[in-house]
Amino acid sequence: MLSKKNIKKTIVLFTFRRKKAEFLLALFLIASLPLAAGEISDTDVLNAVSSTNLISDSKKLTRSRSGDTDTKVTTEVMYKHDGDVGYYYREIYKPTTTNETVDLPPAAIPRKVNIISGSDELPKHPPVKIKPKIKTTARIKTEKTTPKITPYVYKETFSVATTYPDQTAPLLSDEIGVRDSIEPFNRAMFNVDDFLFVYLISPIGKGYNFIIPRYFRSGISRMDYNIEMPKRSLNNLFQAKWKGAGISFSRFLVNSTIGLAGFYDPAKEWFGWEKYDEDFGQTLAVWGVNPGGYFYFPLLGSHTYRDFGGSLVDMALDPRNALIITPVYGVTVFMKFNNITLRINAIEQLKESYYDTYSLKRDFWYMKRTADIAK
Amino acid sequence: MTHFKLLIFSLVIMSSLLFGVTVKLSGFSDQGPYVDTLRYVSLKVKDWDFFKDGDKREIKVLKNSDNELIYKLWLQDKPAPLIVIIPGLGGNYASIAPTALAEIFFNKGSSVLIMSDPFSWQFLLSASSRITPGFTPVDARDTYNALYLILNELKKEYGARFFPKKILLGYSLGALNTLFIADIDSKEKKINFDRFVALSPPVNLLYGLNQLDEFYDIWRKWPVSKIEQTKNKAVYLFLKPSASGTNSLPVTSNEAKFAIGYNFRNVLEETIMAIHSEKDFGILKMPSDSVSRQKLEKEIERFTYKDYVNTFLRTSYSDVFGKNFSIMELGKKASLPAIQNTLLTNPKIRIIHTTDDFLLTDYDRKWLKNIMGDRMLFLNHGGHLGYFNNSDAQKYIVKAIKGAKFKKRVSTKNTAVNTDIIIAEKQLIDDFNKTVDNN
Repeated sequence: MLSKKNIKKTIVLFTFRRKKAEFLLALFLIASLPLAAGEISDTDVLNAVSSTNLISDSKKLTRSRSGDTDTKVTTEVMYKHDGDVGYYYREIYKPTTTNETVDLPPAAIPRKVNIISGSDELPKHPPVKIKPKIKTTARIKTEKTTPKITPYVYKETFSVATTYPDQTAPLLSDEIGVRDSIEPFNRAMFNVDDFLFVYLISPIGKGYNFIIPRYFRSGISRMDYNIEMPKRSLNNLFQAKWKGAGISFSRFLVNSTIGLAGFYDPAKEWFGWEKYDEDFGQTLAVWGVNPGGYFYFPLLGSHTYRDFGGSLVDMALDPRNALIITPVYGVTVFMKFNNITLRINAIEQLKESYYDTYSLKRDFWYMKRTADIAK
Repeated sequence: MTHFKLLIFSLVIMSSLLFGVTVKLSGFSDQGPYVDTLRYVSLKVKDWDFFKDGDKREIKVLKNSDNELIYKLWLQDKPAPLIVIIPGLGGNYASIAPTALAEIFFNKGSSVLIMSDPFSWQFLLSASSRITPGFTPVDARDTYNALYLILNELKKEYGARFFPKKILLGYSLGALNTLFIADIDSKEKKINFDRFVALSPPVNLLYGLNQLDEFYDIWRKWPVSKIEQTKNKAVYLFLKPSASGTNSLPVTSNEAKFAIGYNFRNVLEETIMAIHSEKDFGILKMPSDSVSRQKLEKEIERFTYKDYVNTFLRTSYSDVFGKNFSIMELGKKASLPAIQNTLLTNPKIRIIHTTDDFLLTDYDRKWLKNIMGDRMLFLNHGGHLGYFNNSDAQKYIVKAIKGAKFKKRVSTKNTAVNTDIIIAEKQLIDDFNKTVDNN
């Protein structure tokens, strides 16, 4: 719309006050304006300007030309019109004989209007849709109009009775939080783990990621998951989750054969069989064993005492551990490493997001763990 | 039948008068403002490597601090508009939602820079002049100073022509800061942003914080089993990216309120922990300790947002306002009405909000509409930021970045109001003015 960039024209204002002849001359000038204009109608510009609210006039006016009797004064005027806010330049000839800078109050702005085409680069601009009114065109409201600003009323009041939080109110963490009674040890172990991640796992993993495409890494991760079928099926059975046990076993059969040893997951893709993850820690929870305290161990991650005991049983249920030969252990370690490489970027992003990553990991792990047990 | 039509027509007109220019989001399953807000978590990056692909940079902002402010930058390989994102409460350059927004904007051809929100621990340790965030004029000033240094550095490195336009976009508390920065920038013009886009800014900051406190406290009325159940639901919603606008979420409004309050309370706890590690204001009894923090965590857990304002902010700003200044006065200076002249006259500002954001009252919505006119848009659903993952909403955000105005549109075929855009009439403003006059 109308803006400083678009309007490269100059509006020149002359004074006319008393004589009717001068008024007629002004009308003639205005009527002839469209001839001199480019794509945008000058009358429209005048109309637009005349019907706008002049939000502010710059007070400091500078004189750019000094003659014997007239001085040309330029000012930038901000206007508001039809929701748009923009600027135009106004030049005024004011009789004077001195060459000093003047401060011209808005009320003293002369009242005759003329438009002179500016540079050759007139902007391509749709005409401003304003009903032409010659009378209002000739008589520009010169007084400064400030739009009505309705003050905001603050209805709510916030009383703060004490200068310190309520010490008697129960805490959410006491109700559902994890008990971290050996926190210094856990934090130390967490820092060791963090060190290993930053200086060992992450650099090697990034190199591995660079060489092995995500497609293969995801496939290997699915194979690792597939091998752990006995753990899931049996723990579903231990918890009397018959459907989960059946689907876990069926998934194993389908994915081990059609899915090429679990590299693909046709059980989910073709048959829609979702995973039913259960472990012995969850089984113990269902049997009513309390979780005990929280502890962290490098490379093994977060556990409660109950879950750590459960994970020992799960290890026994892993068929890879039945073969006590070094190459199989090597394969297991490789698969676990492969799983981590799929999440390196996400882990790094989370580490950067939170101030206390240990607290975050502990609390979120425990929340997820209790949610898994409850499902 | 005619009466029925008239009734429907009247209802449409009345709703339009209430909310101004409002657009309907397609593919959005409305479950009320609180449940809809949870859809915010469904905004995730499509490419997990996107974060890694960004350039992580550091800049020294505070002379007397060893910490450097980290920001993330994704540059196009040719000159392109630069969109600077300020996340919501506690969000920083590595948070998931701003990264996902950055991915959207980057894929549309813009360069993107993510700043940390002044309330985030990362910002307050490296760029906050007062360490205690929450007083918007100072937070915005700190952010502006940091941005000035960052953009100057980029200008030196790539030249001004590499960023033909500079756009500042903030959401939630980041949006409030964005608008205060617009106020500063319009006066000082040191950066001279081309556009300011504010998504869901709170109007009255204290009201917004009070809402968050009330949401969190809902659990106090529940038995432990109910708390556990709600927490479990929230965990799965967070982990399941499919919780998008098209799905129905299995939570009630109260459960959603608690999940929102819990999330924001965690942010506050993290912020206080970071403040305490940097400076002891004598408010907390437990010392800062990097080995054992459980007791300190429990002490901090007792702080509501109002407590934070009344203790940390009060202490931190006592040298400016005196010891017995009113919290309401501080809140007024930190809320949007404090910069209403800028909001009214600055043509570079665009605001997008929803008609059911719980951080605003109906009065706030009317006030915003009155001030902003066609430079603001209301989405018909989404609660607080729950519209982020809706494709329609994303289109409107992009339009706002491009500087579109949200004008009324009347169907030329019928005299009825266009169903897509409901018209705001002048009557709205008159009614509003009358309400204010009566008050």
